[in-house]
Amino acid sequence: MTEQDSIAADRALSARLRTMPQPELPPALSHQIRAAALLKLQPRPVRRAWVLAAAGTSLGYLAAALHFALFVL
Amino acid sequence: MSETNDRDAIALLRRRDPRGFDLAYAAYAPQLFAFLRRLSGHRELAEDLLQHTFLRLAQHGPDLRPDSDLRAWLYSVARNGYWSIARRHVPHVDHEEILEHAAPATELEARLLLRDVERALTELCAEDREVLLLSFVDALQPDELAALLGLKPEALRKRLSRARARLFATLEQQRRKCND
Repeated sequence: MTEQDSIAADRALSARLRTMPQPELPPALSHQIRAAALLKLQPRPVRRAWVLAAAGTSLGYLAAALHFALFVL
Repeated sequence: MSETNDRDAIALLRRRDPRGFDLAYAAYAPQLFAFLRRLSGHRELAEDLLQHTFLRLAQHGPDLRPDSDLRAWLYSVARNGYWSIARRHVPHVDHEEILEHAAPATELEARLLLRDVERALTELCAEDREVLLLSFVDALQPDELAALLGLKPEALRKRLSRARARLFATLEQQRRKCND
């Protein structure tokens, strides 16, 4: 095979790869993925509750420490 | 999908607006599915990986930076998903299943050529198949591809050239088998 033949074959193969068709995406799969994704996209109030709980606990601990330092010691 | 549409999709996702997800899904799901299908050689595995990829998008979309490259992000999640499975055990490539879905062509010769290429692809190792699919079928730019695969441009060029040579060799072998 000459160099020109090789280049031509290379180009033909590249073109063939470029034009390979896409297999069909099953519509049922798309519905299933969308439904699951929408659930994940919904805001999570639980997360906010955890943040508030953590902040409340920290503040309570600091208040107790302050009280101990000011009034007990 | 254009860069503007990518930005729109990300902006909507950051507000947890389902329209952002729909935009991204419509633009990238078909090509990602085709990529995963050919890379893995299995319809079910490709479906699972596609689901994994888009659920990750729904989960992490609100945290994406406004200037993120959505296509690169999705391909990265998809191929990481594939390789995390393939590293544990190499999925058996179902040649016949892939060929069954090779699109019909108008001419017999074109169909045969297409089937030959599809078959030859399934016989390559996954690394070669991946780089050929991403470069030629999914048309990723060399810099995108190098970043995605974590390779320097020169290493990418070598890998691509090696993969192409192996594909040629496999096609040649097939042709000889047919002639014998």
